[in-house]
Amino acid sequence: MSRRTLALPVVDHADAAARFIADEARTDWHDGALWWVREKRDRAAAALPEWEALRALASRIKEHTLSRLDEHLERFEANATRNGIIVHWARDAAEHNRIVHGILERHRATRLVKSKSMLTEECGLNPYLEARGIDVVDTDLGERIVQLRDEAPSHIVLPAIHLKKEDVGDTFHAHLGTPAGLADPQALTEAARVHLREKFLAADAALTGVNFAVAESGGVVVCTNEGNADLGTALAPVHIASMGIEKIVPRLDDLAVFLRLLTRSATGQPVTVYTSHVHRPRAGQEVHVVLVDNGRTTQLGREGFWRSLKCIRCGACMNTCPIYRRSGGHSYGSTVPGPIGSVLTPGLDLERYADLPFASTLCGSCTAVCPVMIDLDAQLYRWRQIVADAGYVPRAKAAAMKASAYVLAHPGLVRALGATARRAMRVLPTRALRRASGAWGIARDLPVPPRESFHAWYRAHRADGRAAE
Amino acid sequence: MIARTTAGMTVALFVPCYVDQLYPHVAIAALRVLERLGLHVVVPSGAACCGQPPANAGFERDAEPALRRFVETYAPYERIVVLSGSCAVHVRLHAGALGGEGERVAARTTELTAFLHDDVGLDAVAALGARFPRRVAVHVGCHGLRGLGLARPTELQVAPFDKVRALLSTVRDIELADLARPDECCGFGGTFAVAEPAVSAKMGRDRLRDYEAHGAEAVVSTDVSCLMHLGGLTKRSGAALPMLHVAEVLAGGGDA
Amino acid sequence: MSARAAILAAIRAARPDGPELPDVRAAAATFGAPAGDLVARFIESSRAGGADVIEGTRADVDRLADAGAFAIDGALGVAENGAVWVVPPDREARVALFLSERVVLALDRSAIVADFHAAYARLDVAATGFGAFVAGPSKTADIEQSLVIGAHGPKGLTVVLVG
Repeated sequence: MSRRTLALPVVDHADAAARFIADEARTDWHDGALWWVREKRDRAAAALPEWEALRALASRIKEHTLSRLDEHLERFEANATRNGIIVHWARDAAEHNRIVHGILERHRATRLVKSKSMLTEECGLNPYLEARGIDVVDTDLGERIVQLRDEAPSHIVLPAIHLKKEDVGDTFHAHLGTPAGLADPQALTEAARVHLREKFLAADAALTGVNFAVAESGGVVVCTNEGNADLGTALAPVHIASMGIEKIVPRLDDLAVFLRLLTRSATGQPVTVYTSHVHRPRAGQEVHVVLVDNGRTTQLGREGFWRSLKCIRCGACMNTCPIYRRSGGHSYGSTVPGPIGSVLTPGLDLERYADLPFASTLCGSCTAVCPVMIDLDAQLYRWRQIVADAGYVPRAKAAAMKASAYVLAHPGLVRALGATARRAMRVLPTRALRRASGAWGIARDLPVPPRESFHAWYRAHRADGRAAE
Repeated sequence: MIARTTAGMTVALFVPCYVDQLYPHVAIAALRVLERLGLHVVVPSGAACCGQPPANAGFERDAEPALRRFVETYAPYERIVVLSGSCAVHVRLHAGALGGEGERVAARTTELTAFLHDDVGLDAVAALGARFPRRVAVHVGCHGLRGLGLARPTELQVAPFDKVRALLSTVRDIELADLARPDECCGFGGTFAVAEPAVSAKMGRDRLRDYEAHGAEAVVSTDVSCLMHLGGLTKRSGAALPMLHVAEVLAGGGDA
Repeated sequence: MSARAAILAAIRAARPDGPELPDVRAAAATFGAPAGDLVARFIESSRAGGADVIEGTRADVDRLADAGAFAIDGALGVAENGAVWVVPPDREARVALFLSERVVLALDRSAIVADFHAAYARLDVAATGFGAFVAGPSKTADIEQSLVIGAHGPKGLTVVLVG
């Protein structure tokens, strides 16, 4: 077991989930909202007879790309550089943040507008820059809302999905001066539009994420519905694009495959309103791309887990996960929550995130919706083995599992213990049984115990049931 | 009518430990159904568990002896029918890695409803003459659904099929309810049920609400573990919603 | 060692075996074409995304521009999703495309292709420094999944199919 030098809290998903679920009406609302997005995804997917063929293509393109990631990154760098884009490399979050800050400093930029980038969340960019006197404004409406509330986004595509319109109304009343009690989404969005227009027009620099970087042409693609990425980059003299190294695709033709899958998977739309392609800076503008590793090369080397790097950040796995919908993104304590978060994050800090692979029934729905066919449920299973091997399964549970594994390999023991348990279940009063059945008994009863087991019945009623064959 | 393709065939039946101990009537029903279909059923007593619960909890190596016992016990048989979707999936996914007979046992292992649908055939099952005059909610356990291909999962864009509904449709006077979420997980998930009791119970209650909203008079599932979980919730709440395994419905001759 | 060298070395040490790149164009050629003619499908997709679509002439474009909309030509339309490839000729146009309250795109009705596969085959998206597929007025559903047209970008988009 590692010795912790930083007092970062160990994530306890079960505990956080229980607190979320305590408000059952709100849980039903959150669950319903995300299930609706899943249903929209289903309708969009059903409209394309070639949907499964596209998934297979996308998976194959990504698996190829990851197997030759160095070559494609070098090609991207060469082509982007030739286009006039300045390419940077960052080993980790700290280096990424220093590079971004360095670019801003060189341009004496102090007002930055940002469109959605989960990578910059991962790197903790906002607090880093704010500590150095940079005013950072997240311009995606959902991200601006959580930024004003000093919260993390709870979903990688729908950052404010956990908030009701009244919550947004309260936040805008406090920060934007909207009337108290105003909760109409149209009016609130209009208020945000006015507020953010000022920011766009005053910005010295714009930072975007990258949905896809194309190796063969040296350009980047950014997808939004709001137009906030483009408002930023159209106006500001500096465009910084931060990307994880796994966001590379080899060819322009590959974009068609991914774009046809991405938004249908994410929101059920056939495409985002804006799919912007940046290949060259305009005259008088600088465009920077920061390529970030931050643990990705380590994940690439993990045999059972490298396929998680195929992820195109659509969020479909979160929308379909029955646990995510009933516990909310914050309960995972990680930048990326939900099933994909539970296979990406343990690799970063196994002790801290040991609980995440267990926040699942392994139902497999996530694997079935993933547009790039990541074997999410299989990876969750594999992480569980690693967590257990490292000693991060709670001691009582580990002891119980090892003991049960021993018992279960000995049929005689199983039957003896089973008979004892059944006798106890017949004899003990209900309240005692509920207490004795531990966590099972909080909300459930045990079945009525039968007098004899099936094997006992079989021995008595079927002549050839005697003795193991 | 005795199934032409499987008449006289010997199958080895595996009854998971919790079915053996707590739901023997389900195993008895499964045995009777298979026998009435003309199969010679053997129930070896050498293995109680496939090892899935500790394996899924992260203790795959500790669970190996149980899986080995399963492989050794069932190695002599051509066809191994498992009374649980999740156990069947566990064997199929992991027995091969043990070496020896593991791969062959894995390939020969299937779950009961898959066996009845694919090997025995709907005509023979229909000839059992089962009757169940109720509207039922069908719950196909997730591992059997997505791991064994018992039905088309709603996420997948392929031609629809549902082996479990097809089997149940041979039962006279049965009505299969439509549901708002036909294949959402019930929330059992093995040790998840006790590691995350709040979410587990909530997921189960939501399934029950869906069943009740669509007028289900009974719940029929491929997995007793799901039924144990859902039944535990209804027993606590006092709701009267019978929980049955597919085998029980197929074994029913009209006294439902 | 530079970050670049370190990252590339780490990748080379870690990278798994993987498949060959698939022939995407060949695969796309096997996808069936949906029913209905391209223009009709484009109009349906575009309207579904919240755009107004007029089958008209340059006069309609001018009329809308005179009423205050920012007018710009689209190079190509995509029937499956109503997207129009737009390349703003200069900085002012690029800013106006996103900052204006209303935008009107003029698109030749013969310049509509079936889907993104066809679009990328026809276009050279890298030929210009900036280009965008625009598929409607800006929108958001970030507040309780309520759809609001007109987020930060334009509140209205009209596509005039000319020719």
